[in-house]
Amino acid sequence: MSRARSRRAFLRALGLGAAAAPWLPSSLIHAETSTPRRVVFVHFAHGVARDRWSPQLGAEGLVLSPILAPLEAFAARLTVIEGLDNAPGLRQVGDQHNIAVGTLLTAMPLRADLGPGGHYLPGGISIDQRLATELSAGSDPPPWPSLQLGVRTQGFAISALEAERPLRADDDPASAYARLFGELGLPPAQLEQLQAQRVRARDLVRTRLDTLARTLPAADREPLEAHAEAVEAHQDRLDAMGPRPASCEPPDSPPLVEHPSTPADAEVPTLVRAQTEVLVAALACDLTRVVTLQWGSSGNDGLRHVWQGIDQEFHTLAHLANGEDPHAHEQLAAMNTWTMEQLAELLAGLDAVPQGEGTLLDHTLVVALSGLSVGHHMGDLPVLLAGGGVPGGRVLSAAGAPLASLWLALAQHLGVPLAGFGDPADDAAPLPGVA
Amino acid sequence: MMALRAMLRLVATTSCRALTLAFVSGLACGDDLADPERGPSAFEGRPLPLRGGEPLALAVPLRRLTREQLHNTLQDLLGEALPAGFDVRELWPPDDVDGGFASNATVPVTELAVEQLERAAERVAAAAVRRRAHLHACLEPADPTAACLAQWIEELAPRALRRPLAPAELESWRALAQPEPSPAGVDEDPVDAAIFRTLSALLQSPDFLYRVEAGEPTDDPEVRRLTAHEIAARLSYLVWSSLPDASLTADADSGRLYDPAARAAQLERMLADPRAVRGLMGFHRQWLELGALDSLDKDRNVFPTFDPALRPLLAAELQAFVEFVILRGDARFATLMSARTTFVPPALAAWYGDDASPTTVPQGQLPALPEGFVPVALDEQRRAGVLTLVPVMATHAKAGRSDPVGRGALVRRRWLCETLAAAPPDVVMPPVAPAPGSSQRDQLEQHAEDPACAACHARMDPGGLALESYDAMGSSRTHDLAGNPIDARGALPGSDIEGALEGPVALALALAHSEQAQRCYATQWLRYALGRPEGPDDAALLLAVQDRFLAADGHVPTLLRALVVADAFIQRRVR
Repeated sequence: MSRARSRRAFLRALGLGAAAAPWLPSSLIHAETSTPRRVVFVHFAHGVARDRWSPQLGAEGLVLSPILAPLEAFAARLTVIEGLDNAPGLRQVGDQHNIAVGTLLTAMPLRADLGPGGHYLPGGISIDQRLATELSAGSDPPPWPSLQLGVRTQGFAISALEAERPLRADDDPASAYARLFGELGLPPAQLEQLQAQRVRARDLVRTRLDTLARTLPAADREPLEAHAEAVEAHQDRLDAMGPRPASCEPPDSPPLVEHPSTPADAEVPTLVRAQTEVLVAALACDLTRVVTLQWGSSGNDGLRHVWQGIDQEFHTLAHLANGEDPHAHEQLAAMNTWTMEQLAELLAGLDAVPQGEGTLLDHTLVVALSGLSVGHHMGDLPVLLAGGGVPGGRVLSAAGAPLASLWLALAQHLGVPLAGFGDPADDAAPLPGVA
Repeated sequence: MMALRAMLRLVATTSCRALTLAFVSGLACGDDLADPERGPSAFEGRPLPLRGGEPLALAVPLRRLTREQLHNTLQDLLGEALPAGFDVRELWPPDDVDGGFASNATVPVTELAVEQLERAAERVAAAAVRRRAHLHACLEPADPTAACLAQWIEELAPRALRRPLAPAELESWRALAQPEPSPAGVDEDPVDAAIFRTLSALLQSPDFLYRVEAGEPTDDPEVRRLTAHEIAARLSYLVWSSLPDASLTADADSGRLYDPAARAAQLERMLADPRAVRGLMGFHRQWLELGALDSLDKDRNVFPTFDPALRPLLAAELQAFVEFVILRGDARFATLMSARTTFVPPALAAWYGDDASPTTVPQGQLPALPEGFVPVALDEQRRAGVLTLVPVMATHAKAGRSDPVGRGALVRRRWLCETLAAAPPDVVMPPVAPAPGSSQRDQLEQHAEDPACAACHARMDPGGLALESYDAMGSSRTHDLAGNPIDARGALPGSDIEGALEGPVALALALAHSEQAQRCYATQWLRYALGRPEGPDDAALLLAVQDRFLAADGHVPTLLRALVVADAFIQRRVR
């Protein structure tokens, strides 16, 4: 082979050429007979138009509200929980947006806020991480204990390994895809070569991190050790990965977006759809069993739903809604409805994958919630459950219960009973009636 | 450890406000808002007494290079081996902001970040492989010698890692760079593979990614003196936002950089170098909170001619202005806040309208201008300095309308160094739906009616209202969208600027001559230099730098000089 041609092949393998994925679109069929327990946490920003959110319970079951109407096909597997409070969030004074997002899955007050334009440090481990270890245990563990996917999250994390160690979402579906499926397209010998090179680079990095952690001033040790730990975890995961089951066929590669971490408003729907596809495929191939899907960041990020013909900022409209501005209220309701359409796409994606007696959705518990209800308020949050074997078609009242009680109930349902979770001040007990 | 740091930071914010605003009576509004019934909050801290004494050394966190620094560093390191226009910034994980500036010192690297760092390094390495003749002349032939690869990495690695390498280290890089036979079934060029392997490992090396400051022991176990090469990197990242060049490295090799006079001489040389523009932009873009400029968009119903292609032009205008004032002009803070010359292409001139008219600037004072940019004189009644430039006003606005609260808060944070508390948790915003057709001023007056809002808004709103003369694109206007005449009377209560301010020019000129604003500008540079907010230990140095800045009538190079000649610039507190 000529040198030029070999270089092309080499560069293509690194994702720089015009790499066409050699796979054809195909249904995602998972041959596994056992049915692992899975959970997906979906965060959506800025709360809801309250009077368009709550469903009614009729004689025939749930009568969905205008916002929830896109979920009609899943009504029998849908639980709407009303009255849950973010209790630590309600107690904490500070940037309400940061608190609402950063405490949602940890049920702990933020440890620190990093000032204007800055991020925050979470106050404890998040529930997805608490569950990830157990749900990934067993004879055939998935390669990723958890995945964090996002759209325009700008580094405002909902997951945390522990206090002060946020786990940010990957905002780029192309990057997530490459990490999960990307190198399947390489010829085996070339893939082996690339992987061997990476192992060498990682060894060098790790050795040097260890040396620096030993020799640099004590203050520098913690970040260096955390970095070394992350390199090691990454390598361990790759080492533990077996051959991909033949039944796992990757989806089409996602569309390329020019600035995935600072996308134009109009590109947000593309990113949302792409991340949903990556998520469904990752679960279908049992690459992971715990996923957080985060739509939007914390505060006023300037996002406008221009694709819905809405020209004012989402954040601004959310503030103007639920009050005396009927126009803003309509627009918030329209944006909420669009969000529920995206959730319906996710549920439909999961429901299209046969698994065991039912579908992937039957074996995946999906929790969707916003950290805010109305304005900056963190009480009476909008919360939905779907799939995962949780009975549906109902409204569950949890007036005044802390979110931690839901996390405890979900853990119990997923077979990971926890002695407690979240801020001890809340002394939360599992929310009754969830499963 | 991190918890302690976070707590110290919270304490520091409070006490330093007291310090830097010592002559301002009253407290920032945040203190008025704390509700005793809510109990203790993680965000509250008690002021610590100031520690006296000479600031021989300050704590500096271990920082990972920011996206901007990586971009500049790779440009300088790899030059034309990177394809023109290859923007590497978004390949790396997003930056952490602390104290208002990107520092990457607070959030440890996660497994996702490890993968992102790996992929970013590979993408850059692969791009450079493609243009390998630009990496080193000897790499151009199809079959370069083994000695060529060794020479390439021997020259590159110490630059990338910003220090001389021990013989064993050099040997291991040389070994990695030696071509190896391709494994069976792999048909790649062994030299390309060797360059790729070596460069991607180099760019993942902790010494490349982190600002390593090991230092050397001193008599005081809590104080380490930086190595000469670490001092060179402090200088280069402060002034150029990039790695040291050959001259800095030579001064490090000879140990001259321990001498304050040598550092001052280097600073002078570095400010005269074209790379200084990048460094100054790195500071000023963050100081002015222009992160959203890259994705600026406007409501096309209000601004039908807005075009995303304006974004790089707006950034280029700001860069030309900063270069004009600080590198080609008198370099004074007052001029930054009052200059009536800016540089725009026709596409931006349109947004200035009658405010801008053609002018000439003497050759020696002209900044480097992109194609199509020309100097324009700004109307003295309507514009004054950086705060009133279109890129700044357009970024600090909503999509369709101006944002007096946001603009007012910006002035308090970035010119007066105040920490503003977030809105109280249960407040309804806005309190009452605005009456149709009411002006922003009428709407903001509602804040006065609720004491929970009034505490902060009485500080924020008047400054922002003085900027109401500019619409959401930063164009001058006489009427708002509802047809109300603009009333741009404002004020900066609780600052050293007293009395009413009649519009944006009065606001900008008042800030130009405010002692508080000048002290704050110096504080912002210290935050940028340290990669963290100031704390009680920094008080003496901060005051010294502020005093020297004021004594020099707000001369920015003097401020930088005060920083780099300080003992604290070459030492590090490592308690």
